[in-house]
Amino acid sequence: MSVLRPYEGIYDVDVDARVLATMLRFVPHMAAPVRLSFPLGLLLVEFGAPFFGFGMTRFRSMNRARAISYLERIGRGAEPFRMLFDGLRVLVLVAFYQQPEILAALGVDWAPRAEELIARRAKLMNMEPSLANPRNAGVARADASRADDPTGTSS
Amino acid sequence: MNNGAADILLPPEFGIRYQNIEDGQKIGARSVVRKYDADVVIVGSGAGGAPAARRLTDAGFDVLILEEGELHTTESFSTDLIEQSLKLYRDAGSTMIAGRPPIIFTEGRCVGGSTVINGGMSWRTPDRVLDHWSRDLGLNETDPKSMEPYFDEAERILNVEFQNEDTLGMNDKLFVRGAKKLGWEVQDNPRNMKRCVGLNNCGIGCPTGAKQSMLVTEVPRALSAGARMVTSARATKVLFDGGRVSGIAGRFVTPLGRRLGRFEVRARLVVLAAGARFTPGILKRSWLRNPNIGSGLHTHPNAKVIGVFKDRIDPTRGTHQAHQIHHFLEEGLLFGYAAVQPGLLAATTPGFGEEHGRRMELYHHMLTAGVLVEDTGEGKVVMGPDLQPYMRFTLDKSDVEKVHLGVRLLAEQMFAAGAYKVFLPFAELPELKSVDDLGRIDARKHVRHDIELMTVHIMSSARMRKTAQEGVCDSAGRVHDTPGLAIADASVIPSSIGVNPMETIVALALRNADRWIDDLKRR
Repeated sequence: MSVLRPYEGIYDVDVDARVLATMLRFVPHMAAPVRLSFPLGLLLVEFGAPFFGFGMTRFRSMNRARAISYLERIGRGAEPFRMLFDGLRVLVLVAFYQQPEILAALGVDWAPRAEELIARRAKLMNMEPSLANPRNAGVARADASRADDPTGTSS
Repeated sequence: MNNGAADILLPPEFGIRYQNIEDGQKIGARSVVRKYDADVVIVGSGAGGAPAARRLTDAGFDVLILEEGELHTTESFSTDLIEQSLKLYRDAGSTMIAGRPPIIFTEGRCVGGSTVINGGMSWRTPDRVLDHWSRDLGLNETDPKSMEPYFDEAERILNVEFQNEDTLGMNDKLFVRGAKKLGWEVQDNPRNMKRCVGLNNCGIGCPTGAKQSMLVTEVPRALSAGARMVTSARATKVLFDGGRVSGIAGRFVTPLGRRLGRFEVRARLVVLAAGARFTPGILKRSWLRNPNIGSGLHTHPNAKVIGVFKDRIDPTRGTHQAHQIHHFLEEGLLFGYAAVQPGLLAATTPGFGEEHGRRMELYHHMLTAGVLVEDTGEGKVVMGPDLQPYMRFTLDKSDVEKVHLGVRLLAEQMFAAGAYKVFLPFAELPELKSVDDLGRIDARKHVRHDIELMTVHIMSSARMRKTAQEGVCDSAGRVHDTPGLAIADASVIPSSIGVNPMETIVALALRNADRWIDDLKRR
């Protein structure tokens, strides 16, 4: 993970433990072939150096620069190595970039906007349709009022 | 004195009551065998299952809906990608279609099915496709005129609208600007929504309730009309009595797939609406012999192109996809755009580490667009050693060419809109720096192995055809030579349709349900 995620600038945040926890939450939910190949991907990265011209060494004993070029080599390699590596890459990156601190660092504010927009829509739905929904007041592509509605909101 | 809490206005979808629902996980241990009786049992509550359930319930039949996923109501939805993916998606969105190249496939597994997590595009099946079904394939009453009332009805059910101007984001404006500069026609996207306010969270469930998915339309309507539903109930095989289908059996399951007790449903009609992967899986597991089951799979693959702009776009602001480009639909290409959460964008952006981090710092400057390819190649749904259905699909030569043409056009559109660089879905050509670089797409060997593709539109794996020698179902979705069994999902779609399939699935389900009602009344 420490090679796959960035650390510089806005990413200088200690979230590794939570990234790992998020990854571990995901794994049991994943499709069986992906789930079963997850440990294979880890083994490939750990012990695959000789197959990619990096000598008889383990991944964890490489320095960062060497580890990066080793992973780049796997990423450019043939299937199934590339796919196994890409599965790991995707899992780490999804888990990392969805951490609240990283979202905040990127300036992503989806959650507070959700609260604001739920309230806005509630208000609009309570208004006269022509004001609330000027483009589609009453009629969209077909007359929506004919579909009876469990919410009682059809115009 | 006013009670402050009582004054808080909530969207109407927050108040929906779901009646007659039983949670399969609460029914009991592995030793339990629960028996149900119904006139009709429907497997799945998505775009096909829910409208069929409502139609049959309204016609006076006792309908039981089985749903493998759980009930998650609108008020429980959030913008948290991880939580929502684990709750609403099958395999947390990690399903793969094996082949060259492998294709990422996502579908919903919850009450409402994939309509809960789709973008809400509501397009009618193009006339040229309907003409093909009717004229070339000889499928009765699938011509545009015969289908029109069902599309009308689908649009009423789904409340199809166009986007209001006040919700359009900068990404929409750039997408439209690029197309117009190139002289391409741009279409307003009809979507199933009720006063969308542009949260742009469609892909992981709409927390505002605006998207009129089956969760907030036909499912509660069918339940309030008397249908019943059992959640966490995975149907595994069809039951037979003599030569006729008599019901369906399965297991209650946890969200992680751990098997609990068994169930059996006896019914006069079994309707499979489990999607184009699991419906053929159930048919195969039930030892139906038709070799066409699972074949003919179309995937409508999607290749992503990202334009990077100097000015800030704020892709999270605005709606999911207010416009599409159908200018190249005759060539089998459809263009759209979407705002995706940083985690998803990161996963599909090349590289890792610091270099990747620098790319992601441009998140607010990126316009993510995609080309959807009307595929001519056909794949298969096959059973794995674990008796689960898996998909195989390899892009054929003409589809590889279409992907390259589509990516080139989309990259050109991005530059026309003002992008200063463009990320491509090719491992060996990940980036273009100017419009002069477009030739590099033509110059590159058009190989399939390094294209990054995803899809949310699989179809045609148990398709309608006149005879059992050609397909799986007849022109009303009844499984050939198997009385008492019908299908109401994307698997029956006779050929690749080239547009987002939700409305086609709904319309066919309504149309076919009318024919099943006649059958049931005659018996």
